Amino acid sequence: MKEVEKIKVEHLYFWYAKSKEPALKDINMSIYENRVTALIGPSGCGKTTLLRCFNRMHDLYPGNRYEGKILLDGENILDKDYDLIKLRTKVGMVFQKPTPFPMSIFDNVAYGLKLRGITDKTELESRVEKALKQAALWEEVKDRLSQPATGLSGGQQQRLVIARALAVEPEVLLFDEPTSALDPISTAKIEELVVELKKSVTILIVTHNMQQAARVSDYTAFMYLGELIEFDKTDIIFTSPKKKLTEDYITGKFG
Amino acid sequence: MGKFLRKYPISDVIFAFISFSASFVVLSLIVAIAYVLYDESSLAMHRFGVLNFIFSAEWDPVKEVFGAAASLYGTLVTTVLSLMFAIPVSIGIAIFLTEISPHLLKTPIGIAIEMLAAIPSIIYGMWGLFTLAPIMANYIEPFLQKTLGNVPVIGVLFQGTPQGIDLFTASVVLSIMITPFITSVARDALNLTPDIMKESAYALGATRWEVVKDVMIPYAKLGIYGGIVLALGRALGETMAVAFVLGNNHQITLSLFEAAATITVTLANEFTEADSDVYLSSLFYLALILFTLSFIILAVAKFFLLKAERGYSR
Amino acid sequence: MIYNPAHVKKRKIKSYIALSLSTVAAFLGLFWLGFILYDVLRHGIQGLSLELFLEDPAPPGIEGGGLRNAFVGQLLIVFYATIIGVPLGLLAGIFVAEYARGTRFARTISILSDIMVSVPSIVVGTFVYAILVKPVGHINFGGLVAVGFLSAIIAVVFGWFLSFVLSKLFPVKSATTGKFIKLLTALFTTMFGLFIFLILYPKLVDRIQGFNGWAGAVSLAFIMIPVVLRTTEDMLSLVPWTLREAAFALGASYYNVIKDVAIRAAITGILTGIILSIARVAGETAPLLFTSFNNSYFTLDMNEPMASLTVTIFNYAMGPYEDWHTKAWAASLVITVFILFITIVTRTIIGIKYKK
Repeated sequence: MKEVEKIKVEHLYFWYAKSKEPALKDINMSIYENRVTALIGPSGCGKTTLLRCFNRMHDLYPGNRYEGKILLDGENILDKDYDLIKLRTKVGMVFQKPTPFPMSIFDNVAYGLKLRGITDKTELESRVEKALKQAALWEEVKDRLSQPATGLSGGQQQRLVIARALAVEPEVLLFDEPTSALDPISTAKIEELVVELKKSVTILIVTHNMQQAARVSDYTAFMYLGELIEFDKTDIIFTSPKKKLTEDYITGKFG
Repeated sequence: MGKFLRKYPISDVIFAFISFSASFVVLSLIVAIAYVLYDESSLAMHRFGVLNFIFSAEWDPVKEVFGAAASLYGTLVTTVLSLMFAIPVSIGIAIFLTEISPHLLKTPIGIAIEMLAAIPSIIYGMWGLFTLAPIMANYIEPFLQKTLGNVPVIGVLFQGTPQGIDLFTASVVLSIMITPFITSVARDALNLTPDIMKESAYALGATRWEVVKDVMIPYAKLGIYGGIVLALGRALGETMAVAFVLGNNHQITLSLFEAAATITVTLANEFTEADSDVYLSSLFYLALILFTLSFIILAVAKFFLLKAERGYSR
Repeated sequence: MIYNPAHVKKRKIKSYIALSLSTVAAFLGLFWLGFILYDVLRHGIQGLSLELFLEDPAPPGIEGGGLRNAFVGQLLIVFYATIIGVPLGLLAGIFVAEYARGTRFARTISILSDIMVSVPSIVVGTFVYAILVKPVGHINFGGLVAVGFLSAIIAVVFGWFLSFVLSKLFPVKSATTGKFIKLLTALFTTMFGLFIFLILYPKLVDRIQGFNGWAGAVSLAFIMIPVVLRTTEDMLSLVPWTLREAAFALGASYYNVIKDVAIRAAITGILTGIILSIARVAGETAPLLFTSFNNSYFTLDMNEPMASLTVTIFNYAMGPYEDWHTKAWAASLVITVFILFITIVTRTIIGIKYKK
C-alpha cells in the first residue's frame, strides 16, 4: 500500500497570547492521504492545540503566534498571505459538542454551500442530499429537512455537523473529540462513519479515548507536554511502542 | 397559625410579615395606578366613548371636545421613527462591542454608551431645543427637502417650512436616548453566543460578518427583540426630551417637518392648565391609554427576554 | 473543493464594509455623548456662579438672582423620596429573594416591578396628582408615610445604638436575660419611634392644599421602589446558597441569616443599586410637573408647591428671557455632573466587585 503525504508539519512551535512557554514544541509529522490519524495524550498535552493549527482556528484570538511550517499539498498554510477561507474550505472541522446553527436542518447543511455562492436550488438540494447520505443521516431526516436542527438528538446533531462540513467537499477533516458529548451507541455510529469517510477525505482525530484511537485510526501520534513523543502506525504504537513514555500511557500507568 | 409560630422563631414571623407587606405594596401599586386612572377618566369615557375618543382628532378645550387621535398619532410617529434610526445604530454598536473592539476599549466604550442612558431626559430636551433644533432647521431639514422632498410618494414627508421644532427632530432626540437600551441588551445577548458556535462557522470558511449575521444574530434574536420592545416602551413614555422639541400642536400631518403632539407632551403641557372637569378627565384618559400601551409592550418585552434567557440556559 | 477566489474576495469586501459600518455606529454613539456633554458644559459654565446656589430667583425679566429655592427643593424632595422608596424596595426585594425564593409570587413581583420600572414616569405623575393633589382638604398620606418611615429609621438607628450600649454595660450571662434585654430594647425602640412620629407629624404634615412637595417625593419614591427591589433581589440571589446553609447549620433563624450573612455579602451591590436609583430619580422631571409643581419662592415646607431643579429647567428653557436660558443651562450642568459622577463611580465599584 503506497502512502501519499497530504500534510507535512515541520518544526512547528505555537504560543498562546501572553504566554512565554510554547504550547507546542518542535512538532514534525506527516499526515497521509485517505488515512485516519489519531492524536492522543493526557489532557493539556497540546493535541487539540495542534489540531486547531491545521485550520488556523487560533487566528480568531489575537496574540496567538506560530513558528515553523505546515505544508498542505506543498503550500505553507501558516504563511501570512495564505487565504484562510481557502484553507477552511480545504480543511473542515467537527467540534467536541454538536454545533447546529439556529436554522433548519437543510439550511445547516446548505450553509457552507450558500457562503460559496451556490444559489441554484436543485444543485443545493442534490449536494445537501449527498452530504447527508455520506454522513449516514439522510434516512433519518429526509422527511423533516425544514425543521429546526436543534430538535435532533445529540448523535444526530453531530452527524448533521459532519454533513455540513462534508457538503463543501473538504480534502481534510479535523475531528476534535467528536464523541465526548455522546452516548455509546451514537459514538459507535460516528466511529463507523469516520472509517467510512476516509475513502474520500484525509482525517485527523483528537481523542482522549485510547480504544477509539485503536479502533478508527491508521496512524497515531502520542503527545505529551506540547511535544510529539511518538508517531507511527497505530498497531505499532499500541503493540510495540518505541518510547517508554508511550508505553506507560498506553498501559494506563498515567493519564 | 399556632403551628407556624412554634415552628419558626418570632423574629422570622415579624420580619417575613413586614417584608411581605412591602412586596405587596409593589403589587397593589400597579393595580392602584390602573384603577385610579380609570376612575379619573370615567367622565371623559362616558362623554366620548372609547373608539370615538381614540379615533377623533379634535382637541378643543374651548368647546370641550376631546379626542386622542392627534396625540396618539404623534406618539406613534415619533416612536416608530426613533426606532428606525436607533435599531441599526444600536445593533452596530453592539456588534462593535462584541466582535470588533480591541479588548482594552470594550469597557470604556461600553460605559460611555451606557452614560447616554444615564443623562437625564431633560438634558436631552435642552440640547434638542437649543442646539439640535437650529442645526436641523438650518442645515439638515432644508437638505432633506431638496433631495428626498422631490422624490415622489415619500416627498410628502418632507414638506413645509423647516422650523426644527417638529416630529423629525423629536424622533432624532428620542433615537439617541433609546440607543443605549437596545445596545446593552443586544450586546449581552450577542455575548451569550457560545464560542464553539462561532468557531464552527469560521471553520466552514465564513467571514467575520457572516458569522455575526448568520450565527450570532439569529442566536441572540430573542434578546435583541426584547431590547427593541423595551426601547419601544421607553420611546412611548418619554416626556421631557420630546416636550422641548415637538411644539405641542394637536394636528395630524404627513409632513415630518411640522409641530405635533404626543400623549406625554399633551399631558406635560396641559395638565396643570386644565380648567374644566372634562378637560382634566380627558387628560387622565390619555394617561390611561399610555399606561395600557406601555404595560402591554413591556409585558411583551418581558416575554421575549424571559424566553431568551430560558433558551440560553438550555 | 469548492473555491472561487473572486467570490471570496467579494465576501471579504462585504464583511469589511459591514464591520466598518458597525465601527461607525459606535463612533456615532460616542459622538452624540461628546456633543451633548460638551454643549452642556459650554453653555452651563457661563451661568455658573456662587449666586446660583445662594440666591433666590429675581422677578421675571430682571437679571440676577439664583436658584437656591430649586436646589433646596430638589434635595428635600429626593431626600424624602429616598426615605420612602429605599426601605420599601429593600424589604420587598428581601422578601422576593429570600422568604419567597423560587415561588410564583416572587416571580410575579419581579416581573411586575420590571414592568413598573418602565411605566412612563409622567403616568406616575398623573396618578399621584389624583391621590395626593386633587383631594384638597384630605389627610396627606404622602406626608404621613414619609414621616412614618423617617421616624422608623430614626428609631431603628436608636435601637441599634441602645442594644450596643446595653451589651457593653451588661454582658449577657444566660439566655433568659439575653432574651429579656432584647425584648426590652425592642419595646423601648418602638416607643421611641412612636414618640418621634408624634412630635414630627404635626410639625411637618398638613392637610392637602393643592400641589405639594410630599406628592413630588411620593412620585419619585414610586419610581425608586421597583429599581431598588430588583437590584436587591439580583444581588441577594448572587450570594451562594451554601453560604446561608452554613449559617443555618449553626442553628440561626432565617432572619439572622438574612441580616448577618446574605445582606452582608451583598451589601456593596445593594448600596450601589440604591445610589444609582437616587441618581436616576434626581434627573426626573415629568413626575414632578403636577405633583410638587414649581415655586419661585424659597420654602422648606413640604405642604406647599416646591421648586425642583428639573422643573425649573423646563420652565426657564421654555421662557422668553435670555437670563433664564443661561440659568437653565447652568442647572443642567449641575445635574449632569452630579448624575454622571455618581453613575461612573458606582459602575466602577460594581465592575471591580463583580467582574472577577
